[in-house]
Parts: sequence; structure tokens; C-alpha cells
Amino acid sequence: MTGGSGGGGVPRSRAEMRSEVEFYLEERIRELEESGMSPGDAAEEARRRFGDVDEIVNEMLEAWEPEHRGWRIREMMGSFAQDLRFAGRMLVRNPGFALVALATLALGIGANTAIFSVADATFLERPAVLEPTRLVNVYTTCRRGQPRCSSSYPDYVDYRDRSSLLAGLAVETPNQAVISRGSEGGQLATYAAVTGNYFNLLGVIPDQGRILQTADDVLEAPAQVVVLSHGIWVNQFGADPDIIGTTVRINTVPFEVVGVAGPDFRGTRLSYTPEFWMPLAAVPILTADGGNVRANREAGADGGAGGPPEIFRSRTSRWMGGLVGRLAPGATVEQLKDEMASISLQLAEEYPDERGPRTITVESAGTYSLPVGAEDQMRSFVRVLLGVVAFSLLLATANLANLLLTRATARQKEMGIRTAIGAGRGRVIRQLLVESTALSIAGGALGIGVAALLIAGLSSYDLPGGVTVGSLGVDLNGRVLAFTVLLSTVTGLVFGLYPALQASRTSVVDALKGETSHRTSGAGRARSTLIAVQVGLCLILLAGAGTFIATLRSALDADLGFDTAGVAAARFNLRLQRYTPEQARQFVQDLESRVEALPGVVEAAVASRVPLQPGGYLGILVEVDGYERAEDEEIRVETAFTTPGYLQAIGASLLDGRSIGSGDLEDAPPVFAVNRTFAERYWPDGQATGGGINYFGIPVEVVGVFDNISWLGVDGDPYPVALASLDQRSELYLRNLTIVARTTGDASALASQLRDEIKALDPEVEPSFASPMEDLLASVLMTQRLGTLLLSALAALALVLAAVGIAGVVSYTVSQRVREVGIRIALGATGRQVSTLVAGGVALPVGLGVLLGTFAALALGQVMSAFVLFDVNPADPVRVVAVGLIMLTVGMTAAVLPARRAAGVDPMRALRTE
Amino acid sequence: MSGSDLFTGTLELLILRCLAGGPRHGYAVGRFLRESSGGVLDVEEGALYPALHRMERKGLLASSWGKTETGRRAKFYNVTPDGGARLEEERVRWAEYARAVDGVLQESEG
Repeated sequence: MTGGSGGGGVPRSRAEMRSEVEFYLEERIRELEESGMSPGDAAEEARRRFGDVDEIVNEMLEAWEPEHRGWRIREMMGSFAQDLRFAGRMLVRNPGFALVALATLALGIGANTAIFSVADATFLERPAVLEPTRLVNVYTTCRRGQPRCSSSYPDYVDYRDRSSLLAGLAVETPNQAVISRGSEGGQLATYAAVTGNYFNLLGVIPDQGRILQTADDVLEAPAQVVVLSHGIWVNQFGADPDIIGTTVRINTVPFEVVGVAGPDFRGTRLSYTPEFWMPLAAVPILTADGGNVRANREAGADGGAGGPPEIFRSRTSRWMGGLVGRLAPGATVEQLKDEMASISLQLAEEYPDERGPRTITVESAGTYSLPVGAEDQMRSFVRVLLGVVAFSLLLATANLANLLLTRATARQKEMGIRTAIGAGRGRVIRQLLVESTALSIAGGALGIGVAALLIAGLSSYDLPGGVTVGSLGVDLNGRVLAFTVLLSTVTGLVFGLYPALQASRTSVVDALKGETSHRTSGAGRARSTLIAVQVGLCLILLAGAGTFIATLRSALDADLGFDTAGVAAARFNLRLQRYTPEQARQFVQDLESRVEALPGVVEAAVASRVPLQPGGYLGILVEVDGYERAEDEEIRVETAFTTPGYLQAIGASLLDGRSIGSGDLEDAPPVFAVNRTFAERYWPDGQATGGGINYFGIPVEVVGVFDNISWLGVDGDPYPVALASLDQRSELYLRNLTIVARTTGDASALASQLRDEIKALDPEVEPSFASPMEDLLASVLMTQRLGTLLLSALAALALVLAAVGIAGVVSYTVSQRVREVGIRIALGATGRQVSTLVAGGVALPVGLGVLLGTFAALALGQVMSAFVLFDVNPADPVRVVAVGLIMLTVGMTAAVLPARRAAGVDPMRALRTE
Repeated sequence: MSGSDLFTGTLELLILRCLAGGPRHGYAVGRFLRESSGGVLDVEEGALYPALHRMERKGLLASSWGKTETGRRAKFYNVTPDGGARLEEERVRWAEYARAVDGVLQESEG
């Protein structure tokens, strides 16, 4: 240490530095005064010559680094707060600009936050279970190879017991039941029947009471116990603190409430949220037929007395949708796949008839499992939505950058002064970036409110796969908020950066002299680029909206083969109330006559299937008399079992013969009425009526032909369908049945009347829906409607923003070129020539934007092809060109309106003001 | 980069030279610099202060608060032995440099 007094290690304070500098300045001022300057001039000159005091004090402190690094950071924070205050003042001084910018940002960021939170709940959210990434989903493949089909109970036991790489395998299979307590009315609820190891395997701890255990799930003697979800406990049972130990009735069977799950736990599937959990072994006691009509019928009348119910013994009764397993410590999904492959080989050898070619599918879980069969569609739909909102935000960003550029020009004088008083270029850029980022973060904060509103507004819409947005548990969690903050910051930096760079390039002298003309070329180019980008993005959004609208239109115009007007339907399931088939038949007859007695009702019928019913096409293998089928050809037909009057009730047309009539009873010869596709395909001579079909070995007579009806959705090729008599398969009275009725009055009123009549016959029967047919149509078009809604709204917003942006640029150009315009008019130019000249400046960027946007829309069209129906071509050139023309028209109108102001310029005044 | 190094080096050399005559406060150093360099180094006058502190940190200078002739509080800087050694070193190097430049210039003239 050779430093002598006050050596290197002594901390130096800012105050000490400042007083050193102040001493210098005072001495310097005195020196300048002595040379003859006035005191004021001397002070100013001394400071000017010294340089930025703060900056120099900082450098002095920096000389003592590292001891004073903290000073530097605190200093930066201090000047940041100063920038922020300044930014606040600037925005308050320009409320118009601030409002437009905040509204644009709130909408843009809000839409992104809302869609991101949907994506988050769909793809990122992990179930509230222990180590979700160690979970796997296990499925049995279908006979025809579809990877994710249901499993039978014996299959489940074999998978569980033969695997060494699974720490456990549990069943979680959804079903519906009516749950009630005391004298309160029942509620139709979705529940999960789970094996006794389910809660332990997931590592879920209940909020109250206990979980279900292996001892509850004994096949021969199931415990009648239930764990409620937090939701049903609050909503149906009023958050009763003494609920544990009380009795609820599930399909009229008493169950004891042993636990209530925490609010976070909602199973492991996206497709449904269980409202309660009960032991798998208790499934048969919920229904009079012991759980499964077919399995019990095949087992004989005794239902397998002495052993477990038949549904737990039959290897062909595949009724359990979800098997969820946990990997043993150290095991990987790949190893488990190999092991399951060899287990499925063993099973195929041991049970060649029952298993057939079926294998086992193993998939890593981790997040909520997407609805089986709709995974890809869901993913791409959410991706399209994310893309759309991102485009909108990009467009809003371009618009704001444009606004800021215009403002930056207006603020050139201010910037010039700031530079003159010693602010470095970096300091000016920082100030402007703080302004734009503060703006966008404020917009983002408002955007969170907008997102909450949007999420609430979208909650009744379905994503592909029938998942209702409201059931996803979409929330603005930490991940979503982090996304919003990041997005807001990046947005602010992006739209602020170019205008800030542009403004900081201001020449001090020019700015103070009020001379801006030669500066405009760079900013002008930037503005043109931004206009082109905006127009292009807007066009892509418009084209996307156009595709969805075209799809919706063709769906609504499509001939569905039945009437939606004046028709209502209500679905119920009598099996849930432990009816016998005979009781159920009586119920249906009573219901029909009560409904037909309602004023205005023309016709009513009950059927196992109604049009537009979501769900797959299964089809049953039949033989057609006199039809020679090829070696590998299968004749499959979907059957709808109905009571008489069905076709009249839904307004479908009978083409030939008759439909199901009142004489088609159990002991009468079985009959079918077939649809046009069935008739044309297998009776090419047109002689379907009177033909014969072999159905499970039973000869069935075709008594009539009816026109095709859209059964599953509005789209798709028609397939063979037959109507059959419900009375000839009376056990089907215990399946989901739907009453359809036609009225001359209002279908919505009829829908609630249907519900009332069902309740009047048996208050315990809870319809799963009662709605006009028009609502059913709306619900099958949910994805298209959601897409149309979002895209149309965003495209309209984009169009307005683009128009405002273009008009703003032209107005600005006019104000900058007043002198030139004045001279031209003085020299004899007409108003029309002048406005063409001014508006012409944006013609190139608008045209370029339309051109590029059109190409992009054509290229991106294919992304949309998963969501369009019928023959709607997402990249339909006619539509894309039409959209381009709309854009061009709006763009040039937005340019011409302010340009006409230029034509009104008074040359004398224009020249004088400059 | 080399330009600023040259400037920094020159500034330090001049400060050492100025303080070789005895302790002075910053204002006196500044005035000496302005007057002795004939305005050549007339950049931001404040740049002097970070230089003083850097040199103190490096142990070339030491400082202490004291009173001026007019009785005002000011910080006085003086050269440490290290600083003296550096001044000598720099003086030699500068002389060599100047000689070299001189030589080159005379050659090209001749």
C-alpha cells in the first residue's frame, strides 16, 4: 500500500464528490465573472464547459469500483424513476394519444393473454397431483387399430399385475349420475368411478375427511362411499362444514360422504371434470341391470351369483376409458412401452378370441390428457388462435410505432433541447423507450382486465373435442401473468425502438430552428414500411375471418334433412333411476302423450338417437338379402330406435313405404326404415322397400325409405342408417333417450316444457339437456362460431387500426407539405391533382401490403383447413382477392379523406405561415 | 481506443507534472491544464475529476481536505512516490516518442 493518506480502500461518498465538483464550479464562475461576464452568463458557461455534473460524479464514483458499483445501480434506478415521471407527464399532456395507445394495447395484450391462458390451461397446466410427469396413460387399442380405446376390467388387472415397471395402475372412468341429498332436488353430475388405489397413486390428499382406499373397492362388497369435489361441495351442498359422514343419494342409492377434495384437484383429464369420485366396484349397484345390459344378458339371468358382477369378469366388455399409471422409480416410458408390448403378445396368445389383434398404448401424461381423438384438432385450433391474436398485436404494434413516429417528429424541438443541455443520445433513446414501455405496461395491466372479460365471455364456447372453455379451469395464474408482463415489455420496446432511434438522430441546430424537412425521408420510409406491414397483417386476418364466415354460412345453408325451426329435444336416462325396462316403457308412453297434449305441439316421439348428436359413427355389421358383397366388404349400418312419429316430429321426409308404426311391437316381425344412402347402395334397382336384412341373425324387413339426415354434424358423407322400433328392443328403454317434439309455437318454450313434463312424471329424473334444435345446431358448429367470432372481431379492429394509421400518415404529410401544396395551387394545380399527389404517397405501401398479405393469406390458408367444413377452400382465390379489394378500398379511402384537406389549402396563407 | 488511451495517458502525465510542484486542489489543476496546454485539451473540463480519482485509486496520487488561501474548504492532491516514479517513466517515454516522431518527420522532409 503506497497510496498514502486517504488510500485506495476508503469508501468515497457521493456527497464528497459533489462538494469537490461544486468547489470547482464556484471558483470557475468567479474566474469567468472576473473576465467580464454577467453572473448569470458565467454560471451557465461554467456548467456548460464542465459537462454533465451527474455523469461526471458517476464516473468519479466508478473510479473507485468495485466499492461503488452499488452507487451506480442506485443512480440508474434514480434516473429511471425520473424518466418514468417524465413519461407520465408527457402522456397526461397528450391525453388523446395516450387513450388511443392504451386502448389499442389493452385490446391487443388482453386478447393475447386470454388466448394464452386457454393454451396454458389446455397444454401446460399440470394436474394437482404428486409428480405428474411420472404419470402415464394406458389404453387398449381398438380391433381396427385406433390407439386409444377402452379397456375391460380383466385387461386392466393383467396390465397392472404383469407390469414390473409400473408402481401402480388405476382406473378413472367417467359416467353420469343424479346426485341428491335429503329432500333437495337431484343434480345430474359427471363422476369418476375409480379403483381403490387411485388417490394414493396420484398422491392426492383431501381437504376434509379421507380419500377412497383399496378396502372401499372390493368387487363383491363395494363400500357405498363417495369423495366430493370442492366444486359440488360448494355449489350443491352450500359448503356444508358437517358434510363428512352424511348420506347423499346417487341414482337413488345411498352413499356416505367420506371426503371432500381440494379446490385444485379435478382429475387428470381435460374432457371432463369429475364432481365426485366413487369406488369402481360400486358401479353395478347404481343401475338396476347391474351396470351393463349386454354383459349381464350374455352371462344369463343370475348375473353370475357368488362372484363379482359380470362387467368385472368379461374380457370383451370394454367400458373403462381411462387407465392412469405411475412409473416405478427409475423406469422410463420407453421401457414401459416395450414391456406392455410383450404383455399384449402374451394376452393375445392366452385369449385369442377375446383380445384379437388388440395391443396396448402407453403415453406419457404430465399435463391434463386431451380428449381422445381430438388431440390434433385441439392443438392446431389453439395454435391458430394464438397466431391470430399474435398477428393482431403485431398489427397494433405497427400502428403505435407509426403514431409514435409522427409524435417524435412533433417532439423534435424538445429532443433538440434535451440534446443541447447535454443529454447524450443514449439518454434520449432511454427516455423514449421508458415512455413507450411504461405505456405498454399500463396497457398490459388494462389488458389483464380485458383478458378476464374475454375469458368469461368465451366460457360457454367449446374447443374442438367438445371441451367447454369454462370447464378448463382457465385462470390468470403466475405463468399467464409472467407472459403478459413479458409481452407488454417486449411490445413497448418493439414499437418504441424505431421512433426513439429516429428522434435521437435529431440535429440540435435544425430542431431549434424549426427545420424538419430533410429529416423526414428516413421517418417517411419507416412510416411506409409500417403501413405496408399493417395492411398485410390486416389482410391475413380478414382472409381468416372470411374462411370461418364462409364455413358457417355453408353450414347454416346446408340441407340437414330435418327442420330446426319449431323442434325441441330433451335427453334423459331412466337407468340412472334404477327403472326396469317395463317401467321405463310406461314412462316414455306417458311422457309422449303428455307432450302431445301440450298446446301447439304437432308431433312427439322418443328415440335413442337424434340428429346432430356428437359422438362417433359405430355401425353394426349386417347382411343384405340379395346383395353380393365383396370378400373384404363390410356392410355397416347405424341404428336409431324410435317410437312412432319420429320422422314427422323432426320434419324429415319419407321417400317410400312407411316408417316405424304403432304396430311394430315386441312380438311383431322386426322392421327397419332405411335412409336413402342405405337404399341406393344396397338396392341399386330401387327396390329397398320389401327387402330383407340379416341383423345379428334376426331377419328384418325393410318397410320404407327416408331421406338422409345429418346425424353427427353438418358435414361429412352420409352413411347407412336404419330406424328401428324401440318396442322391439325394450332393454334400450334404459339407454340415453331423447324426446323430440314439433310445435307451431316457440321452440325454446317447448324445450322448457319438455323438461317440466319429465320432472312432472318423476322429479328424480334429471334431463341432461333440453333445448331447441337450433341450439344443438349451434353447439355442433361451436368451433367454427368461436373462430368466426374471434377472427371477425379482431379483423374489424385491424381494419379500423389500419385505416386510422393510413389517415394519420396522410394528414401528417399534408401538414408537413403545406408550403409545397400552397405553391402548387398558386401555380395553377387543381384540388384534385393536389389530393392525388398527397394520397399517392401511401398508394405504394398500401398496394405492397395488399400484395404481400394476399400471398401470405393464400399460403396460410392451409393451416385453417382443419376447421373448415364442406368444400370451403381456405385459400379460395376469389375470396382472398375480394378481401384484398376491400382492404385496398378501405386503405385508399382512408388516404383520400385527409388528402382532400390539402386541396382546400389557401396558397397565400400557406406561404405566410412558414 | 488508442486515441483515448493517448488522451488519458497525456492527461495523467500533465496532472502529475502539475502536482510535482506541490499539493494543489482540483480547480488549480484544471486552470494549470487550460493555461499550459494552450486550449489543446479544451474538452469537457469536468473530465479532470474522474481522472484524479482514477489516479488516486491507482496509488499515483494521495488526497486530503484542507483550506485554500481564501479560507475555503477544498480537496488537495499530491503526488505519491509511485506517482513520482511514474512521472519520470512517462517523461522518458514521451521524450523517446517525441524524438522518434521528430526523426520520422525530418526524414520525410529531407
